[in-house]
Amino acid sequence: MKYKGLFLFLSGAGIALVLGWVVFPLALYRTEPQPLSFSHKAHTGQPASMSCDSCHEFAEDGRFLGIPVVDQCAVCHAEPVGKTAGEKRLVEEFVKPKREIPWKVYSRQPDNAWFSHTTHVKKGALKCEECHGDHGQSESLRPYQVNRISGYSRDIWGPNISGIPSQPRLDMKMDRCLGCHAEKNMSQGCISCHK
Amino acid sequence: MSNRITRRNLFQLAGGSALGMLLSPVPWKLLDDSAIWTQNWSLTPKLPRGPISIRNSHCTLCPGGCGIAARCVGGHPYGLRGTGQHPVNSGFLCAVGLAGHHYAYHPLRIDAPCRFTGREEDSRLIPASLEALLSEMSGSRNSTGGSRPGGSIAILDSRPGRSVSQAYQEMLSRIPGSVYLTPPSNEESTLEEIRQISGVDGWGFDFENTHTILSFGAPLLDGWGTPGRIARRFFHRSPKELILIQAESYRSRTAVQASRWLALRPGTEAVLAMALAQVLLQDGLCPTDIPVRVADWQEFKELAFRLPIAAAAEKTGLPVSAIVEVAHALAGSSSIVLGGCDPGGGPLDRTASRAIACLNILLGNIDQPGGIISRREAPGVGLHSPRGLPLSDVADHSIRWMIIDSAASGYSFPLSLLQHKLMHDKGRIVCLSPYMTPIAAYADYIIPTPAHLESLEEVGTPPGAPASSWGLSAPLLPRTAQSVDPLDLIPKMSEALGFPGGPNTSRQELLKQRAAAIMAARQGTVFHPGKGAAVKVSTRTGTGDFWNLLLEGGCWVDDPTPPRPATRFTMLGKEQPWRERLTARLEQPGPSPDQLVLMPVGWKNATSSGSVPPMISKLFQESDCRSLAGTVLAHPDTAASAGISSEGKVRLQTRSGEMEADLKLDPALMPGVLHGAVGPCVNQAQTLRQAPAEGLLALCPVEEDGSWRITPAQMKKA
Amino acid sequence: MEQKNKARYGMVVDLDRCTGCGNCMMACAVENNLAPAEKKANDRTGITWMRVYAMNNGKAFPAAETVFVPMACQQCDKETPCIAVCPQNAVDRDPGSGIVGQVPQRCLGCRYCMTACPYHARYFNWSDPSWPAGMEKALNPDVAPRMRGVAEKCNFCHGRWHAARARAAAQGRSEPDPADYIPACVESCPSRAILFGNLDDAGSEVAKACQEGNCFRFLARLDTESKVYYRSAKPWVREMAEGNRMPSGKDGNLS
Repeated sequence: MKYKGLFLFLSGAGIALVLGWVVFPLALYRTEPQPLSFSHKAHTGQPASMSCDSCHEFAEDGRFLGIPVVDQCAVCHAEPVGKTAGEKRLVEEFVKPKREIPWKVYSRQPDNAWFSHTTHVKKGALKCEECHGDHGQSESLRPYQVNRISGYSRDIWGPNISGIPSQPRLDMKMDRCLGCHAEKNMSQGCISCHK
Repeated sequence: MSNRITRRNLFQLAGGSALGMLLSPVPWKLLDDSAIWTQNWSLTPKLPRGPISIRNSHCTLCPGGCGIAARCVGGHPYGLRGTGQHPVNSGFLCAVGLAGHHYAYHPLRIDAPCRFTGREEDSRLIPASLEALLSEMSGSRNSTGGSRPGGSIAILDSRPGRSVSQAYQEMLSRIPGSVYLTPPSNEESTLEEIRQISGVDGWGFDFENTHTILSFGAPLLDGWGTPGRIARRFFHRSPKELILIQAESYRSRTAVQASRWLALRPGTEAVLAMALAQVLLQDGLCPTDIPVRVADWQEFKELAFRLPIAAAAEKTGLPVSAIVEVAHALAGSSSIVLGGCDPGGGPLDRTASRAIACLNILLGNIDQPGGIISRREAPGVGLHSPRGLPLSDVADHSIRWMIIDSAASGYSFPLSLLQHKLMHDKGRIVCLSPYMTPIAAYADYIIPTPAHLESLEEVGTPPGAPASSWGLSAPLLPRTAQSVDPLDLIPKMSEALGFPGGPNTSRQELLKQRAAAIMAARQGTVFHPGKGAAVKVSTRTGTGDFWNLLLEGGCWVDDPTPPRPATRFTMLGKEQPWRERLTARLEQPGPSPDQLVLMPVGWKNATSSGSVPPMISKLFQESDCRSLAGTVLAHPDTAASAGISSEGKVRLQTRSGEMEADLKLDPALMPGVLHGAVGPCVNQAQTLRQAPAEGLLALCPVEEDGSWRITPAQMKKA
Repeated sequence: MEQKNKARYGMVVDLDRCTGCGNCMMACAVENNLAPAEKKANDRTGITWMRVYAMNNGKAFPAAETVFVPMACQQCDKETPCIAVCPQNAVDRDPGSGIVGQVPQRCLGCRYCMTACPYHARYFNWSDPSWPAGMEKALNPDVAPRMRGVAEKCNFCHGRWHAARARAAAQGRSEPDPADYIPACVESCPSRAILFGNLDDAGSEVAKACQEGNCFRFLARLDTESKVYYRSAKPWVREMAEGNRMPSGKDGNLS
């Protein structure tokens, strides 16, 4: 066959491309379940219509408190609201024994990155959605994927395995920080954001 | 057409795969991820996360009584600082206290009762049990009968005056012939002598209002008393100037800062004090009422004039003019003379302390503002006198059971002192300690107790304080399951010894009773760490609120005690035993010029008897900030006279034995004096397998007067 | 909009007040998640972002005098030697604060910066830092731990600077309150020997203190314009700072 060589070459390339683009992401990331199902929509939509900072609070000293502690859930969920099994588990396994819910955090940055929500939201007037997308409107928690090598959440790299940012941008790597800082004439010093 | 796959075909396939790979994210993503992996592999710890809070408590590493503010993440402390505006430490801590929250993770933490097989170097650590201890205790009671004078059961309480101390004393009060002991070194030695001279208890130093301090080697700026208190007075110079005169043989950290340094020959402290007394008497610098108030005025006067000033100058190594100037400086304003005690080198001998106390009386410092002022005890509930017998005063070889509560005092002592007090063969040491210290390693039973900041403790009046104070050290860390509260152990030991029915109150209950007693007295002020201010104890404060405030780092401080009316003094004691001792000291010939003396030196809370936080390696091992244990410092001339010209290994010999040490040459030292660093074992790589060594203190025999500061020694090249 | 060069943080260390107690070294080590010494560590291989050296006047007893010199990164402003040599851009001068910041995660471990630093203020992780079991729980959450094979140094307690900036943002200010940003060594010094603040703020204590006659910089002749000033009334100390004799613990030991 005249084109056997080319065929083999192309099929090798094809196999590699399939491996690289399809199989590799599946192998690289491990999906871990969230401890409870959670609907942001149920909280932000009608009738609760809470804003992000109702639960994701800013402390007076400028620290962002991140995922709310279980005591905050207890304000409304001291007793099961509704009759779902998840509600029952929330109240019985976490709220009553005051055990913190071990949420997997999609946007957890590494230990050497310092990011102040207060500075970005209060001074920079950034909207939550600009970095976190429509997470606040989601009906359920999407699967949490963790990189087997680096241990980072997949959200840091972004959903696109190529690393080419999607629009709107959903990745959270340093070049995105730097790009925005450059655009807005903000500090470019390493130590400004590295701890 | 052939279906054979050739080698060439394989290369084609591989080439295609390689190209495909390069066009896929695999290599690029792997490169990125593996780079990140090197930054957060399992060898690099993950940072703790959680809400940040501040919790106030008190440090109990030494009796200094410092308020601490702990920054916590998720309730777990990660950094300590002094509580701002705290009435005791004014917001400052010492270097050891700054890492106090690391003690719980000490590599030499003991988690179960244990003991070493012997006191040799190759002894092994083996498990022991509480039951074995108690059964040996109960087995021992027939043989001794518990009635031997001098005490067959002794408790060495490193921190007298606590509620636990009270429980110890209650237990011992029911056991005939038992004895309650306190450690030999004590920052209040001058005040103790004044107590004996005046027959009145309760004195403190009024550093805040004094103008001149003469310190005989007290490391005032290096951890003495409550470090923050001294620092505030000295460095903030308020309300008025302070002149600090430091008399010791080398330019210590305190002497570096002092207004004047007197390079005093070691062992001549009593001579200098008496020479100063002579100048005061000669130049008529004593207040007029003093001769009337001193019962043995004539005898003391004779003694003061026994040695001519010139001879005293010769002995002390100081010029006559310096002695005269210092005496005038002390008499010219409010002043305090205080005797020191090196945390490693131990107390001044008592003769020197007595002479120093007499000097204060001569200067009219007693009950004067800026002098030595009255300090009443904090209200308590049926407290026995917190005063125990100093360890060095117990008859030798008289103790069957020596129980050591190693709540550290910050000071160390030679283990030979313990050895001498124990009965031959039958004597046993029980050490209650969270960590393996040299004293614990020396014990026959080591019982693990809660580590620093792990249990509810109380914080009493710090040494030398002008007013009594009381606070709580609320635990900042969870207690480990294996640790034993000494309070729970006391009734069991008491029962094993044949005296059942010991105190059975919980720690919290005991402390609550004390708090209630303080509240009921309605005196003093309470400091609120949250407000950074103190308020008067009033009838409006409930006892429950008071307790809660104490748990949150509050601190009660007594009002100033009114001066006592004209106290009378007996300088040389009722039977005048001090006349002979002082005479002997004054007439003692000076050391021969070629005799080397070894002086152990150390730093409070970081001496060999105690335990240090692992981070202390920064000061000892990873820098030259302080000398590592086993270092001996000498003037180059001193070394040359021993035939040594360079630094390195040397052998030191005293009448107690011989040991290898690292010589460092330091031209700042007095010729003829060797400073042996009594430091901690700092390396976190140390394990429980080997007993921590006592170090150079093993070379320092305890003299008859209970001191071990100065030992004739020889040095030769190793 | 953020303005550039809004602060230039610096220190003035009063050597006449330093007792060499070591509080600054301990507070620094605890604050910045330094690991306790590994077994073989010594004064050359140990890591002490802040180190107290004892210097003497070269005379013998009783004329010998000692001065303690706390020395951390001197935060050189001009032609900063470590920045100039770093092939990796792992250290830069932060334009907003003047802090010469080391990012250890970026470092490849060539130790060129350590050779370049005239103050010996840079340290290298010769092995993986290790803490006694359980002590990771006591790490400061505001400072990242380092790993084997990277250089590190004092960053003027950048963790505290970050926290102070966040607090300022929460209060709607653009600059941290000076009371919120106090490095650990400054806070822990019982003799208040270290002043810290914005050198560009003419009203600040440091800006005034560094202009005083007794103030000097170590190795001023190198003209790196370090932002850590020292102060002493003793002429021999000021002469020593000229660098004819580098501070070294070997020169003088106080136990």
